[in-house]
Amino acid sequence: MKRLSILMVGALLAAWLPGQTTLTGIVQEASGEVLVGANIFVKDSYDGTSTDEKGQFSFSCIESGPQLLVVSSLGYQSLEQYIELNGQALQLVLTLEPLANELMTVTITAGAFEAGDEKKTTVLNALDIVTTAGALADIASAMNTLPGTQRVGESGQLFVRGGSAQETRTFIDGMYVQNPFSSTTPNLPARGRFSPFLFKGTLFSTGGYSAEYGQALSSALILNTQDLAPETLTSVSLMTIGGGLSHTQRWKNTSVSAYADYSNLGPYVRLVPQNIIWDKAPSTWSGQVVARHKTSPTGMLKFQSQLSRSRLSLQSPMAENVQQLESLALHNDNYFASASYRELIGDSWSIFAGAAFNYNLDTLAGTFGLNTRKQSIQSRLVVQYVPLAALNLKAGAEYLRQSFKERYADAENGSFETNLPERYSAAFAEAEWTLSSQLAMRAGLRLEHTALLGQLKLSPRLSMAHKTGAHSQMSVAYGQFYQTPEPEQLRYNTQLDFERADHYILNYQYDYNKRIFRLEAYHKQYKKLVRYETDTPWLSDNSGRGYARGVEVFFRDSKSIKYTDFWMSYSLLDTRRLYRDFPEESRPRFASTHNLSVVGKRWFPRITSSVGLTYAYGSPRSYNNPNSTAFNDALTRPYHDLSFSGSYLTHIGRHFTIVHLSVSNLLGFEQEFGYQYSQTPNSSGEYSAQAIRPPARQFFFIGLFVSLGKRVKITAEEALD
Amino acid sequence: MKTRIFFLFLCVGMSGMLVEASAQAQSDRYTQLMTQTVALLDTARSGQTFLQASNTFERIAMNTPTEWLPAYYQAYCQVMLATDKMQAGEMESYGVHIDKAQDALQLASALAPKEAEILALQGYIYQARIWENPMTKGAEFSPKVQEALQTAIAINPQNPRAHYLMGQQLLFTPEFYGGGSKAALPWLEKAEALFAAESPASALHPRWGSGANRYMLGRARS
Repeated sequence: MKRLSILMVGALLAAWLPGQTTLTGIVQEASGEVLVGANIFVKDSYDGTSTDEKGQFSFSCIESGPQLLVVSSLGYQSLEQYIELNGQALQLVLTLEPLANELMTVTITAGAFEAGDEKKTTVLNALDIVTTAGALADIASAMNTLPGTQRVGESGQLFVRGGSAQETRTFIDGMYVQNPFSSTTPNLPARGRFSPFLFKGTLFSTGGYSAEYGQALSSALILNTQDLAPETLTSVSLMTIGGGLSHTQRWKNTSVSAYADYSNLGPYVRLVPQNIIWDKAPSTWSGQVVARHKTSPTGMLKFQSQLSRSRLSLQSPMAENVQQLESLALHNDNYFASASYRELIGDSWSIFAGAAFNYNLDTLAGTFGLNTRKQSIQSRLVVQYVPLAALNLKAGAEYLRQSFKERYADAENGSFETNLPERYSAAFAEAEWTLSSQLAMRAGLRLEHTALLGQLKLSPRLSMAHKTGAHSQMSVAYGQFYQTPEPEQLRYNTQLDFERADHYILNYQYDYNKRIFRLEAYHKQYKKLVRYETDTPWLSDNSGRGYARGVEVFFRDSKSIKYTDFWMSYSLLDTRRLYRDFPEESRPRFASTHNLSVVGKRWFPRITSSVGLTYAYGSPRSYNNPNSTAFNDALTRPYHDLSFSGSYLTHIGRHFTIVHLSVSNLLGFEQEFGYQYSQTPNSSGEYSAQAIRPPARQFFFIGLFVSLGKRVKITAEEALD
Repeated sequence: MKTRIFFLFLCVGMSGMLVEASAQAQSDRYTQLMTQTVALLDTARSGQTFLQASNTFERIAMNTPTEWLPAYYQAYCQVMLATDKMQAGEMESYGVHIDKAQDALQLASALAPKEAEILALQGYIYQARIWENPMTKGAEFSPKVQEALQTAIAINPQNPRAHYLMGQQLLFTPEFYGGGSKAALPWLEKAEALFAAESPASALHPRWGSGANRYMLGRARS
């Protein structure tokens, strides 16, 4: 008995006494490449080590029996494996899978340019939009330095890959923006209505965009607004063309900002020679309210509204006889409001709900009167489900109710009214699947219905990306895109179908260490474009067609020269269409074969100043000269522009201040965008012509921006006592 | 019979002692491992050493979920690894290390939310976020750096690291934002005095920073 008891104690002791097991081995990737500095250990114990330069490890463990061995390394999926520890040395070969994260894996880049600070795959960051010379803090102008865009000086809007300005649509937090640009009279360039400071990220798609968006044949400009404002701040701006005041109040989970701006070009146009005769230079009042409320650590409620009223009046060439000028006045009232709510539900679900209201009234008064009122309300719901890190499923629906009312009147013809009520609804579903760190794909479907045309269409979108090297990848994209014809076409006939474009895109991107190189080729097939004879616009149909194809190059280097940033875009475009009143297939007026932008910026830390230069070139565009028998055979001058911008950062008292100076067309190039012709020939049978030129040869801008109030700034005396 | 009962008691008693001894061994092992690894930091220069130390601290943190120091040190090692990557110009890995540092510090902070050392290191991590891209991240993270460091100083006015980091922040902040050498100098000088007088709560408590402070002081004076 005694002996048995002693034996029992002995056995008990043995179980407790540390019997050591030695583990040795190697940690590697599937490719056989060894992993240095991987963490390898036995779970719930202190026993473990790191792999050395050869990926090898060796350590001993005092635990015994079945144990869980864990191997982890940054950028790889952790490995857990059961092992049996019994004092016998173990030799292990452990293989880790790379982790599917943004840094390592492929991202779909075909047709997409990201600007923002959220993701690492950005091409431009938010600040670039503000600091690019010649852009004057206008989002569209900054996007015009990217490949795929054409400079159309008389418009100021975004023309993408042989598409008209209407083929690019702007979305703010997923909501369609009806009038993203200021209203102008014909051939007077517009500016974007929204300040780039409102947005934390911009996705500029030059084609093949996601099924989440629709109603744009060529391009989507997707803007995502800022979250909570970082701090309470008051700002004052003084410019050569006006001034502004803004205040932001920040509470713990809420922020509210209010802006008021007034601009008037009156004093400026009296000082600087103008190409046009202003009766009343453009003036604009605008006010804006932006509110954010964090409803939970993951929930965000956003609201913004913007109201503006602008007036201008000028001497404009008359349609009948362009040699004769008439006084033309434009009054515009615009209002945009949107609200959205985003929240995560559990670990893998998220929901987005949004609503928006758009209102725009343009009143044009000359020898005729044209009154255009367009307003819409819309709602949108998106549900996202992420069952696996590698799989992202999205589905959503949107509904838009729009009214378009137009009244034209002149003494000779009386009045003509257009009323185009629209109810547009759409649903979409999309899956983004990262098959491996080398291969990702996105497939989506969009179903759209327009009550105005009575049409229902289903459009597939597909894109794929394959990693070809450590820093390079190839992407392809395909998609069908539908768009309702513009009111100008529907005015006389609503028995029309959607216009359609099919995109095929091939993209190569190399991105390493602040140097990006992109090469993209595409083909865009236009189908069902609206077509009619000049004299019978009510006999229009969808028999038009066209194509656009091209190659684009983008290169950016923020690395090679300290404090210097440089990028270059080149686009080659070949496009022809048979549409609208074209008698034969021809190149649209807004398209140019070669477009080049070269942007350079340099920061001078010693004098806290930055200087930027932007050069832009656009090859001649076609336009029709009615005095010639051939259609569209006249060519504009090539477009050249060199713009300068400089900023000096300083302080007035304790208030952070920026002094900004910019000059467009520094070298005074002669810029001309073709000719406008009289609708009727003169006595000698000629159609008289009037050159279309920018409102002034050059534009000078000086602004002073002061941030007042609570700037977090501690002086030594305050904190050291 | 008596002997059997005696042996039974002996067994029960011994196993109780063994459990206690094992807990003691666990605690001894913690102290021993921590002491070794913290000592490693005093001399660590290369990324490889910081990576090893980070791995060890991570293992200790997982096995000792009641102590904030291992996770804290892991976060510190990750910041050091990030600066190493910055010098090598590998800005992509830089961000990954800063993310990892933030995750680790979150664990430490959950265990000791009012610890001045954790808040000071939080200020450091925010600083590192700014360096990722000063032009775009400065506006967002500068106020956060100030807030974290000021809270650290409010909790422990004698913390030398919070003062050093405040000095460092001001030194790299442009003058028109209230930074510059002149603004940084008093902080760095005060930090130097605090480093000299510092007596850590235990051999395992943070004591890093005096060398870096001396370097910054040199820069601020030149």
